[in-house]
Amino acid sequence: MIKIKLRFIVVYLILTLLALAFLIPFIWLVVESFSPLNNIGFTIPSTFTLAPFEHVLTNSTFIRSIYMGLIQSLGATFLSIIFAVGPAYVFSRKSFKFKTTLLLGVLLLTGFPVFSLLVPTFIFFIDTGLYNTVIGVILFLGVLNLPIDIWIMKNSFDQIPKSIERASIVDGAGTLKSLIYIFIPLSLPIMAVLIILNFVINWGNFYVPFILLSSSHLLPISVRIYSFFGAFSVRYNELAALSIIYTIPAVVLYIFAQKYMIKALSGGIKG
Amino acid sequence: MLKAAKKKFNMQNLIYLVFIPTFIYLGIFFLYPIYLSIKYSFTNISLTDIGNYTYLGFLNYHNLFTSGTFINSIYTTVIFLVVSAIIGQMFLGIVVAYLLSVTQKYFRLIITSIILVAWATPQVTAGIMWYSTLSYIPSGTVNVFLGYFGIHSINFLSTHLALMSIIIANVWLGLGFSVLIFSSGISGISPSIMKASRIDGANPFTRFFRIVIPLLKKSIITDLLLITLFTLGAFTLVYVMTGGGPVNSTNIMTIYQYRTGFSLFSLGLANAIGVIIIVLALAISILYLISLRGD
Amino acid sequence: MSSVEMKNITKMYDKVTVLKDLNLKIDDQEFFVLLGPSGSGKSTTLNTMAGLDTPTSGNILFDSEDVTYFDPNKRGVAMVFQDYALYPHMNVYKNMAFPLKMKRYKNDYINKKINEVANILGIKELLKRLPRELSGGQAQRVALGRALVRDPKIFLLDEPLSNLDAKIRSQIRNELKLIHNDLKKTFVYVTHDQQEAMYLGDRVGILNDGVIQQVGTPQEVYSHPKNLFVAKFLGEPEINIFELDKNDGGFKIGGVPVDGHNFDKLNKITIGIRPENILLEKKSERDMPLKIVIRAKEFTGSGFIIIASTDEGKEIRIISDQANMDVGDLITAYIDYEHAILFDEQGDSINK
Ligand SMILES: Nc1ncnc2c1ncn2[C@@H]1O[C@H](COP(=O)(O)OP(=O)(O)OP(=O)(O)O)[C@@H](O)[C@H]1O
Ligand SMILES: [Mg+2]
Repeated sequence: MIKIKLRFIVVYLILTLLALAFLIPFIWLVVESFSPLNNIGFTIPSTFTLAPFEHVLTNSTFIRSIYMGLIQSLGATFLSIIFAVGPAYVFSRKSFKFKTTLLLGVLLLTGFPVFSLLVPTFIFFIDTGLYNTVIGVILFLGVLNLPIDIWIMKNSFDQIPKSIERASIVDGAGTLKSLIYIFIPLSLPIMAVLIILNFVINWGNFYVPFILLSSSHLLPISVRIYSFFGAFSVRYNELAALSIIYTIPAVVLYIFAQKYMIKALSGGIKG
Repeated sequence: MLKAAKKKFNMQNLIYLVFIPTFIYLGIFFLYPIYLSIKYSFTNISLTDIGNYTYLGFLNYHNLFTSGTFINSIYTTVIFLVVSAIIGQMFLGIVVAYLLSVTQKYFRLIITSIILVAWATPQVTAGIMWYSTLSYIPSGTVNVFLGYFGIHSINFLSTHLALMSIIIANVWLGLGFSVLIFSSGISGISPSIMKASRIDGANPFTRFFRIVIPLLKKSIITDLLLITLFTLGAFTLVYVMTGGGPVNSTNIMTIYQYRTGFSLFSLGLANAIGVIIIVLALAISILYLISLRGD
Repeated sequence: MSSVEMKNITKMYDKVTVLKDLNLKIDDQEFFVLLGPSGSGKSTTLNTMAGLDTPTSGNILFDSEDVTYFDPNKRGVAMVFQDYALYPHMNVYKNMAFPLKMKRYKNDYINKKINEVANILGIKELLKRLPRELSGGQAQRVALGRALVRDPKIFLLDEPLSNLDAKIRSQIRNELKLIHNDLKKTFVYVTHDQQEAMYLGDRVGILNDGVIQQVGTPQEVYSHPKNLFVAKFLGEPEINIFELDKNDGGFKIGGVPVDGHNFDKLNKITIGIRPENILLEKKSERDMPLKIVIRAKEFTGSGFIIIASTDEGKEIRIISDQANMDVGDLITAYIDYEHAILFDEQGDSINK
């Protein structure tokens, strides 16, 4: 009995220590963002202040970068979802000749090392005038999430029982009405989660705007933070405050959507 | 009657039209860049003059595989992959998920959330946080703590230790994903199997190796594939923390590709590196599909 | 008026033939049960009637009108699904209103109709609930209600009771029978449960591997099965089967010869005797004695099932009101040869 107790205490101890270790990197970020000093190293200041947040939130460059981040993330999210929903529906509901092959293709693109495509895309965008445009960034970010969106959506649609749609059709709804009254309302929660996920992924993406944009006024917050970090005479407390403002929405939304994504991701290829 | 049948047939097939816009979009912005990357990998295209290039055949590839920097980059990538993804994230992920599965519900929720916050943190922030946490001069969080215990400051981002540091940061970043996958896998194991094994006298270690790991086979393969691909394509965290240095000690392939293209202006060579990364990723994916087919 | 006729229906998925040249005539106002094991094609048959599937070849006629390529909503059928298929985002009222809304009925009428049906089914208190707040039996009633509000010409029910526990199942089964009597509509009911089929069906069609084996009243198919499959599929416990070979010195069961006039051409026959047709006392001159050892007795509430074995070691089952013997006893039972069913080598039934 005592042995079992001891074993449990050890488990709790290990996990608690692990969680504490996971918090270590956040210590500097939080302390520094409320600090009047600015320091890349770790010092506990004698007083805490909200000034870094104030400075950041009244600085038009930073506000603009938040705005650019929002536009680019939301635009790309919109594109991915719109282009994913039709194929996902057909993949889930119809059987046709090359279905498995096509699905495998989508799956391969899902795991594609997209970073390596930035060099050719950079050249392609310069050739076509899409380089250094917001629409270019949106188009490319949007296509990157398209395969995984099709995949997750298809798996989620598979969870909506077919017999429900069949029932509605026997009940007198045509294909279109069945879609409007039955399928779409049932898939709304999935869509909501997927929209959040897409937004967070795009919001967190750094390398796409970093490589495809050059004009300072187009840079989204992710790139802005990085250039701030790399600049001379950095106000680290403001950097930390800006990073916190950048991070909190992502973390909150992500935790919210996470559980669902795993379920959808681990679904296999069915029929 | 034949007419009716035919009409129904056509109407049914209209729905396949939804594929067209999606395929066009994917074709232009995903597949075409793949094609371009292969095409340019055989040229000497340069950032200084994108309009002019000549075909070099396999020269870029030849140069890469005879270059010490590239071989070193592959070596660094492999170590980064094996230690941070396979050992750090996957194996540690299973252990943590298993330990979490025996703890109390709210405790589990709190610990999982903390681990997940790391996974949810945007990589630019993560990179900056880790940089300052490991900072040597002035002392970052870790060195300040070490100081409290009277231990000398350590330069975590030096040539010898930088690779270890980015590995730790990457484990920190990615562990949450694996823990989630395995937690959902473990919760899918029927409780009666666990009870039965307990009655059969298996101790926690035997249970872990004989029951949990074999039953998690599918989760393990899925997790392995995804985190290997994530890690192979990782860029931001390492780029922000070390930029590939010092002295190429953390020069993983993506960073090498970036530097080749945008610091050395050799876009042709950078494309060849990209193609090699793509081929590696495809090989990993195909291995995964084969191992799933075995079931 | 609504009869259903399926003419030479064949259904293939890719290269697999699921229904093979199926012919079926269901009369107006009939309660027709389609019975068969899992995977035999029952749901496919029903879906084809509903218009959810299109047959690869053949025709479907409702009252001699060809509806083969009609959309489901043009056929005037209502369907109840095995998993209920309630719309999870609508409450019970909205679920039942859905088919009426699709037909653009006025709200007053919808309201009246739903209340009427809810009264019949005893689900008035559930109207505001969501499907996930219902028990299995309640959900089944709602699914039934959604079909009833429509006043369809034909009801199609796909194993509607199979997910319920025994008690509620028999309860709803009774209600269904009453509803059918009241409505006087055509019902096509799919099940794999032979007792349910016997209880509900005016006629029963037995389906195996996509082929209709026999159609008839429950009494007909039970007492005069067309083939061995039907004989074995109906009845609980299963029919006792004796496979006889002329080369064993003539057709004999337990050493007693079996008589019949048209045995001359046959080398092998199979005899099926229902458990209730093996008697513990001789009743008529034609009864054939059979020496058996009692292996087990099971009390079923209304009587006993006796498990015994013959001299040849064959296990047989007997249904009897009483069983005043013990396990291990050696007794003589009597085969009621009048009710024995004979089959030829192909398993088709033959006359004695
Ligand atoms: N969409 C489909 N594609 C391919 N094969 C199918 C499809 N639907 C059914 N089948 C096959 O057709 C056969 C008959 O299926 P059906 O669902 O009609 O059987 P059932 O008698 O209703 O069985 P159950 O009692 O299990 O519901 C099965 O072998 C099944 O695998
Ligand atoms: Mg069925």
